[in-house]
Amino acid sequence: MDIPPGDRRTPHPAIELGLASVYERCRPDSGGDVATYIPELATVDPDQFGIALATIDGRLWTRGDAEAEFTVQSISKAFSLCLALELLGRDELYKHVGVEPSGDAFNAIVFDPRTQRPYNPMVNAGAITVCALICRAMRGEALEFVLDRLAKAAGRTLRVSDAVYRSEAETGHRNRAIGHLLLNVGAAQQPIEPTLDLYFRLCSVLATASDVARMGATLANIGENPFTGESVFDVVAVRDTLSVMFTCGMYDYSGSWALDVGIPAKSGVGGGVLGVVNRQLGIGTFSPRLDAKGNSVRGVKVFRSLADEFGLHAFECTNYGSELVRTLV
Amino acid sequence: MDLEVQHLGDGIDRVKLAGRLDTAGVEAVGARLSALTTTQAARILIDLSQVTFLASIGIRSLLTGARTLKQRGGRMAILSPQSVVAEVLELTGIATLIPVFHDLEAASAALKAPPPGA
Repeated sequence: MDIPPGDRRTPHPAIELGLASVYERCRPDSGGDVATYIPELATVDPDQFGIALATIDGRLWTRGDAEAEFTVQSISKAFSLCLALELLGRDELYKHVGVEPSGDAFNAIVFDPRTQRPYNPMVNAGAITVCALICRAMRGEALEFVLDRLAKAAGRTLRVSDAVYRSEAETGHRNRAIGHLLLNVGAAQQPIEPTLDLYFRLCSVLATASDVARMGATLANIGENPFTGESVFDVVAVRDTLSVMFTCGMYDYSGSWALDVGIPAKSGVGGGVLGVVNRQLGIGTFSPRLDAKGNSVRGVKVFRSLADEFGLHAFECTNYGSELVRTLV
Repeated sequence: MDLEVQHLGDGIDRVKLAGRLDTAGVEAVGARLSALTTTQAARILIDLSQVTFLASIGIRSLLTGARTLKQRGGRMAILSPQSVVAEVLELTGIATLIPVFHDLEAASAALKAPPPGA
């Protein structure tokens, strides 16, 4: 699959200047550390920094290392959720995983004590449950199914990093433990190994900030890739996915993120952050140094600055709520 | 971003901004703008004729100033925004909260008039 013809830089001074100013403002920040708990992640160049912004009319703006590949890690959780919703429907899906922010770290081995379900699909336990459900629905074709949709959302074929996958699979003892606890509470089913394998492989998918921006623009465009015109995700599933990203997407920083940035987002310990401005933008950032909560330091800073620059926050004084209500009152 | 204050008489101050009112712009002039709106019941005319870009943070800063002025019995109006800035003010609904004028005379007259309900 080639980069689609619509995917080109179109001059727009206000966006160019805004993006340049945000990039320069955030670039000097060398705070944080690269993830090391997956050994292969520790080998990346920590100084890489890229921003990409894609609009729903199929235009892309980039700055810095926007074409550098990194593993998406937990960013894949947003897309797995979207696809599981399509496969199973919301009623069935939410029997197995909740939608409440956990306030716990991304790798917490904690379930909701009332329901015995993982708190939400954006933490590891919830995402492994989602993978179990996709495996149940798609059997041996689960990986192919998800990779195909990720490719359609990005507008190009995305491959799995073998090195990171092996590193994840060999050292993911905590995730294996979560898998077995999910069996114990009935949130996943045997055999658990294909589920864990799907989870590790999806974390190891390689993408660039530009890819992530285009995938975000596909979500922003109600599931249709604005660069290719291809329908990728279910309309209702997109709404649920964005809602869960909004409340749970940034690990235990999600509440502060809602205050400071105010858009649906999902970060990954590979240094990427995906952001979506409904019906307008997909945003992808990449910078590998992470803060204590597992979010990219520069990534968070970029989003805060972009929100200030372009009025992205859902409750910004420049934003209206329902456009439908606007036509009525 | 530059900020220049000109006293027009009748208690009206014309605050002329020049450059991009974005994050860096607000960092540069925000404190002075805030001082102008919080220390007195002033009538402030924000001249945007030399402002080339109005970011969300800039709009927030203007709106905060306008609200503070109103609470203190003052008023704010916007003068002569460039077309791209005027469009932003219109589409975001800010023009309904801070009146926008394209000539000095009309803006001054509006600021001098007693506030609605007074």
